[in-house]
Amino acid sequence: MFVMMKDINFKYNNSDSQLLNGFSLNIPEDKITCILGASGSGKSTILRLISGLEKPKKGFIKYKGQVIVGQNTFIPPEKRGVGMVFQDYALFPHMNLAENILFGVKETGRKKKKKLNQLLELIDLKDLKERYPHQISGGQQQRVALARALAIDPALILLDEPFSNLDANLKSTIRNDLKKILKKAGVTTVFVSHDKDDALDLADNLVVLKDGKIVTQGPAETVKSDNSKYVKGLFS
Amino acid sequence: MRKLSSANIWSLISFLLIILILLPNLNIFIELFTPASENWEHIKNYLLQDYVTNSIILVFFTGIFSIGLGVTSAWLITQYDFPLRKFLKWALVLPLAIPPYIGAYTYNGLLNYTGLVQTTLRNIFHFKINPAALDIMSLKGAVFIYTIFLFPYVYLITRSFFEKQSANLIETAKTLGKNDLQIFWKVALPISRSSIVAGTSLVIMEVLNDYGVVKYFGIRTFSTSIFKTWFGMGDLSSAVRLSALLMGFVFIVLISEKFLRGGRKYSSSTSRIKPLTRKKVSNKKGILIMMFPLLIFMVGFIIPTLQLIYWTWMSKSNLISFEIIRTAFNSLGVAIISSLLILITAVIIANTVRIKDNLLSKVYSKVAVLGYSIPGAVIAIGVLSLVITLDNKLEIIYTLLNINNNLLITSSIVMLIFAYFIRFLAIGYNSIESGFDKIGSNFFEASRTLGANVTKTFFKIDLPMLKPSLYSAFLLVMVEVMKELPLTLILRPFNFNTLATKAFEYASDEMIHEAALASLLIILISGIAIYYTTNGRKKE
Repeated sequence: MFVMMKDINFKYNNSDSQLLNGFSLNIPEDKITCILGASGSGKSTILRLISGLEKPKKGFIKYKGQVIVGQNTFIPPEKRGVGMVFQDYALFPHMNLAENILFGVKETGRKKKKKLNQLLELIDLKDLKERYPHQISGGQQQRVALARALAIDPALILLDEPFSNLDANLKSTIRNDLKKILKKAGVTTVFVSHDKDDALDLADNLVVLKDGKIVTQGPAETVKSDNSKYVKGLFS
Repeated sequence: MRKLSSANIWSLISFLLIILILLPNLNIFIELFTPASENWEHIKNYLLQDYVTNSIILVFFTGIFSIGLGVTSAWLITQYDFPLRKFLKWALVLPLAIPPYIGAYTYNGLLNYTGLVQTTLRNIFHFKINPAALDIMSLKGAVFIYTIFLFPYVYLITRSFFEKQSANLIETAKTLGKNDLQIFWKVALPISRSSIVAGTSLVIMEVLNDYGVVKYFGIRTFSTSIFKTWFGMGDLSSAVRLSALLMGFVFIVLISEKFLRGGRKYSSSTSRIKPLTRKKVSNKKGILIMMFPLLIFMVGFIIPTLQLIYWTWMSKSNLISFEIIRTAFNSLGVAIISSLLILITAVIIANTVRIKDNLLSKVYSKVAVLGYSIPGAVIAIGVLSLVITLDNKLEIIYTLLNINNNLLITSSIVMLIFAYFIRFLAIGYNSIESGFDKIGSNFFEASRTLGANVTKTFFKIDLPMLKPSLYSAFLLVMVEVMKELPLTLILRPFNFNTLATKAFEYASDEMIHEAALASLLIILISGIAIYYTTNGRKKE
């Protein structure tokens, strides 16, 4: 398995209840996986655990065969090489688009420039590279955030509620754009969403989450025809 | 050995800084267990009761009157439309620009036998008033001075509460047929309780911290007694005991604050702030309403400032002396150095606290703001006894290095700056912390996932975004340092003066005219800072 989470216990400091209790999850390589669940089900927390922004109380996480979280191991986020796109994109407001994209890039000189051009081409924003985040639209911001995350050549990209900040009428266009970019980049992707349409449209692999527990998981079509009450309610 | 991670370096530095802040306070605690001097018996038996009674009277009445002025003016400003409302809204904050000790000698100069009021009455109206009736150098006078120059703390916090959080409740009360007066007593006052308590406790802290007013008026309180035992008797151990008692007093105030607020801070209604619609009143009524805040503004700012300008004019022949320039530079110099140190420390601790969300970091943020609730004289004694101990320990090294001064640190400016650092760290820390809050954690986290460690993230992301908070923190701390009196008087090196000490010394020597210029400079600088922080911030 590409990412393996096992027996994870996690709770936030400001909360009394355990959000994840003995939680385990496997994420396959080269696929787009969607974690689908209501708010508070713990789906964003799973991304934060994989990226290293949160530390579980117990359990281990393996990534590309290497233990990144274990009993005495905790690889900090900056050393994991996992790309993350935040719900509100978190584009640095004091940097223009090019500077944002290049923030994590290790290459220098000509190689760096080449990379920038490739990424700008990928997200189709070549002409706007001098602009600042507040000067572009929400959909464009999302693409920049994705390019910035891809710039560190991650083997895994995590997207936290990628469509929650977008106008409903633009959503399907942007969803298609995103799908194209992700397929073109050919990188394993995990995104979380509370919207079944996002899940069915984008995901190869679907994980349905409820109160910190997996209800069902598998290829999107299989999950859709699951007979359990919760899943039926979700897709009706 | 394992290499320290970037995040751990921040924790380590923060830990060391926290220890540094705690040391002088711990030192007071330790000194408490050394045997008492013979003075102590005398102080305890004959003087202590005076200190306690006077302090209680000052705190109690200043508190009550500040609530009266502060809440009433906040209510009028937020509820009614009247002439000059917009101007008075921020002008009512200006009395804070005048440190109470400057206000004290200015009003004394105005009201005493040779002052403007009595001479005018005598010479122009041929009316002889009993001088005792206008004698301000008493407990009553001190309450007046504290109230008129400190009430804006209550005004500011209560006003912003009325503006932002009370609209729904007040409008509901109106629809239920209550008149204005009923709404004020039955709705506005109870719901703003925690804001009033917060503002009042700031006022009380300032009263307990003050040395200038009570010294000038000859009132015995804790801070004057701490000065007396140290300067008059050189009795550190009694000074430490008095400091500990004063801290007990502060502690009671803090506990009561918590209790009176009902354990809650301001209810943080981040969502939809509904502005209050102000009531239109007739011209006549509007002018009547205007008189109240206008009068406060006159008494709390215009009259003393005009008097100071007049005095400065009177002494214009020796206005720009070498002495005043040097003093201004001293003030500016120590203020800039202390502000920079405070800013750096505040940023380091606030960043650590933000990253490590655990019990220890909660302790850190409490310690960082500790100094502001400790009166200046107490910090001074804590720092002094610590530094003297340190100098004693270093004596061997001094001898080895052929340094003739056994009290090298004690007699240097380092001690004073260290004390400013402890006392005013809270102001810098609060600004920086709220700056970090405004930025949120997303940018930090994004940077981390992009391969930057805590330190690189700090310099590339946090610091540039924190700039506005850094500027306002710097300004706020600088002004406080320039106004500061008790700490500076106890800890300054021989012959070292700031604008504050110079103004106070001149005034104490009855050289009122000479004190005026230094005082005006302090008021000007504070006024600019107040303008910037109350008006300028909105534009960010």
